[in-house]
This record gives sequence, C-alpha cells and structure tokens, in this order.
Amino acid sequence: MDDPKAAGRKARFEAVYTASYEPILGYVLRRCTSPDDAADVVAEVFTVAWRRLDDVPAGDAARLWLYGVARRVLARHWEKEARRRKRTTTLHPELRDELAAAADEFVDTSAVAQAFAGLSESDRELLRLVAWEGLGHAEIAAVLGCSAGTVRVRLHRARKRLSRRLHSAGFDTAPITANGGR
Amino acid sequence: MTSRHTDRSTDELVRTLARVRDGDVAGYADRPAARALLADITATPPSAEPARPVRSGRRFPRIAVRLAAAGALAAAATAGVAVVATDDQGRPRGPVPAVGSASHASEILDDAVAAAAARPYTAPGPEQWLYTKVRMKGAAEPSGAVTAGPYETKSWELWRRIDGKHQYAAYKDGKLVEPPAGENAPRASRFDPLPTDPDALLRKIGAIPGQPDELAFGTLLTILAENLHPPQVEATIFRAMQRIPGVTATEGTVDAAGRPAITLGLTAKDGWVRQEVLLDPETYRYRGERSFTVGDRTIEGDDGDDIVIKSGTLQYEQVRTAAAIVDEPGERP
Repeated sequence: MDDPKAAGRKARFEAVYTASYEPILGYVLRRCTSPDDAADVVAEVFTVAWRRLDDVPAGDAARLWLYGVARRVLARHWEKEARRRKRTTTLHPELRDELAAAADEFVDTSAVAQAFAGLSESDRELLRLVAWEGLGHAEIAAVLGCSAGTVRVRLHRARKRLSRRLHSAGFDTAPITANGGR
Repeated sequence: MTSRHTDRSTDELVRTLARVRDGDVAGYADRPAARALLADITATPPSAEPARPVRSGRRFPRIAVRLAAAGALAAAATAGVAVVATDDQGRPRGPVPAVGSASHASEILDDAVAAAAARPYTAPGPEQWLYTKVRMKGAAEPSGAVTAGPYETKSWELWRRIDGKHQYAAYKDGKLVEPPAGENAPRASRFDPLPTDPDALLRKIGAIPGQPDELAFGTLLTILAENLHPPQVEATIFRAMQRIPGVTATEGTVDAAGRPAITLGLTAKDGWVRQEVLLDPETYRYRGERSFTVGDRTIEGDDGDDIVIKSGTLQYEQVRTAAAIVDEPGERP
C-alpha cells in the first residue's frame, strides 16, 4: 500500500481518469438510452484502463485510446444486454436521476434520425466520431486502429450514403436549425 | 470542435442527433459519483484482477450501484428519514404492500394538487437556507439488486443557500463533513425554473406526456424531495404524476417512522421493481420514497450460481423528517 510504485501508478490513473471522465461519459451517454447501461459501460471502460494502464498513451491520446475501449465495451455490452437486463433494473435511483437529467431526449423519431439509423453501424460510428466527438481523420484513425487515409475514404462514403438517404426522405442536406428540425 | 470538412451539412445534421453534448456533463468528473467510481476501481490491485473477468459475479451491477450510492451521498442533499416497517432482512413486514388502482391515484393526486395549491407559502430570500434532514437506507454492499440485506442507513442534515451560490453545509450521521466538491446545487435544480404546465414539466425532464416512464416518475420524486416548492409548482409536479400512466395509489400505509402515509407508486415495465413516494395523508407533503421488488426473480451470477430475489425485498428507501427555511447554515428549525 505504501509501495511508491503503486502510488505512482494510482496517481497516473487518477490523472487520466480526471482528464477523460467527462468526454467518456459524454461518448457513452450519446450511445446508450438507459442510464443503467451508461453507468455500467463507463465503469467498465475505466476498469479496463486501470488494468491496462501501461498501455494507455500519454496526453490527449489517452482520450482517443479510451474512446476505442468504450467502443468495444459498448459492442460487447449490446451482445450481453439481454442477459444482463434481467439482472438489474431500476435499482440505482441516484445515478438514474443524474444521467436522466443529462440525457433528456431519449427517443428521436425525426427523419434525420431515421435516415441515420438506416446506415451501417460502422458508417454511423464514423459520422458520430466526427459530429459528436469532434474528431479529425487522424484522431479517428487512432480510435479505430486504422490509417487516416482509410478513415478519409470511409468517411466520404458514409457521408454520401447519408445524403442519399436524406434526399430520398425528402430532406435537403442544407443547413438547418439547431434542433434538427424536430 | 467544428467539423473541418466540406460536407458540413451532413455533419451538422448528425450533430443534432446527439442527446448529450460534452458541455452538458461539464463538472461531472468532480461529482461524488465519479470520485466514488475512481476509488472503487483503484481499490482493486490491478494484478489481483487477471484475465478472469471478475472475482465475485455481477461486476457490472456492483460498480454501477457503487456509483449510484455515491450519487446518493452527494444528493443526500435530499430528503428525510427511514421508513418502512421491515424485518431485519429488510423485507416489509407482512405481505407485499398493496399496489392500488390508477383511478384511485388520480383522485388522490387531485387532492394533492388542491392541497399543494392552497398551501401557505412565503418565498424565501436569496440568502436564506433550505434545511433538510433525511435518512436513507440501501444495500450495505454494492450489488445490482439487494437480495436480502445487509442494509446500511445513513442520516444527513443539509443546508443549501436559496440562491444556489453557496455550497451546502452537510452533517452526515451527526458529524460535519466537507461538502462534496462541485456539488453546490441539488440534482433537481438543473430543471429550474420548473414550468407550471404539467406537460411542459414532463418534457423538460425527458418524458413524453401520456407514456409510462418510471425514470420520469423517479425524477419527479427527486424534484419533490429536494426542495420546498411554491404552491403552483408543487401542484404541477402532482399534475405531471397524474399524466404518467400506471401510477397507482394506496392509503393507510405506514412509514418507517410509524407515521401514516398515502403512497403513490409505479411498477417498472418489466413488472419487477416498484418505486413509491410516501405523502403525508393530511398535507400531501413529501415524506419519503422507497423501492422494492414485487415479484420473485432469479438472476444469474457470473460464477454461475442463481441468486433468488424474493418479492417484497426492499431495495432502497429514504425518509425526509424535516424540511424548512432557516437564516443561517447550521441553524435548525
């Protein structure tokens, strides 16, 4: 416990945690509809980071690394969701309120949401990383573990597919108001 | 950050689909829930947790609830005191509380609306303090669902300045404690100002009027618990409850402090857990809340063992024994 190495490790983790907790919480909340799910995923992401602290890169790259972890945890989470859902629901009143308050639009039935939902998950995630996390090509490449060139090409295609769907839904990809025309 | 791409409009459209912006969670890293998760994670030596996912089953639920419990501490900025008559295993004595009917709930809520709207009220000054005394009871060990105790009870006294500009003073179990950093406002205050139209209130807390929503019901309870609202606002909260389908009422309940109460509750969609608010039967003031299981359920632990949670197992309860406006922090009504 008084081991200076352990203390150093803990201090490093705390720094990573403090710097990246909010972006990771945002990332997860945007992709989960239930506060219970979000709480589980956030906890798991940082548990992974604690276990694999030696693999976490320094500086802002840590955030990108954690987005990558969060992406995989979420994917696993959906697989296991049905199984886990029977275990615990409605049991976290405080966190529930906190997260519900942060994410107050659970259902989006707008034409934009539907067009978006029609894309493949990999297209959607690319577009989200740009629009939701504000990442550039190189950063997305770090999250997804591919080259920036690949990101550029795939992103271009994903945008085209979304525009096409929007057009066929009678939507013009013109600038719109802040609330997405809901 | 804005997009640096030419295809700006599709990106803008996708951006509108984000339910949460990073700015919405600014400051969350300083919240007690985040600090508790940090403590929870670093309490386990990383080497002690090898490839084998978890030592004792249910890791996800455990950590999640630890988070919740920490949120509860912060928010102990809330309400009153304990509660239901339970045996030492935390099961309510006697049969599972009656669930009541929806039409009865509507009548009760009509009365609550009338009582709230007629309540004498003096708006507090911005530099006065809201004092609340609360007792909360929940699982002593972090776990997703409380199987049968052990339980832990915590008492809190809190002072919050009305203008929200000052952190509250907090006494936990009779001892002055450092107010949690960054937690200078009650959780429900983010919805201020509260609309006086019930549908607008429901939308503001993320619900769709007319749709069953246990999350929204819980949020309304938190809003009630954390403040003494002006009459029209409190009446609106009750009207909003009336618009959530599935809310039912029972009279003749007794709270843990032995006081008679009226209970309004909603059973979650999967029909397993019910959360309830207890109101004073005369004044319809908030007294406390609780959640308990209303059906037996077997859940699977990661070690493969089945865990049986019996119907009527208390999951969480809190009672507010005092709520009043005072002039100074530390002053009791």
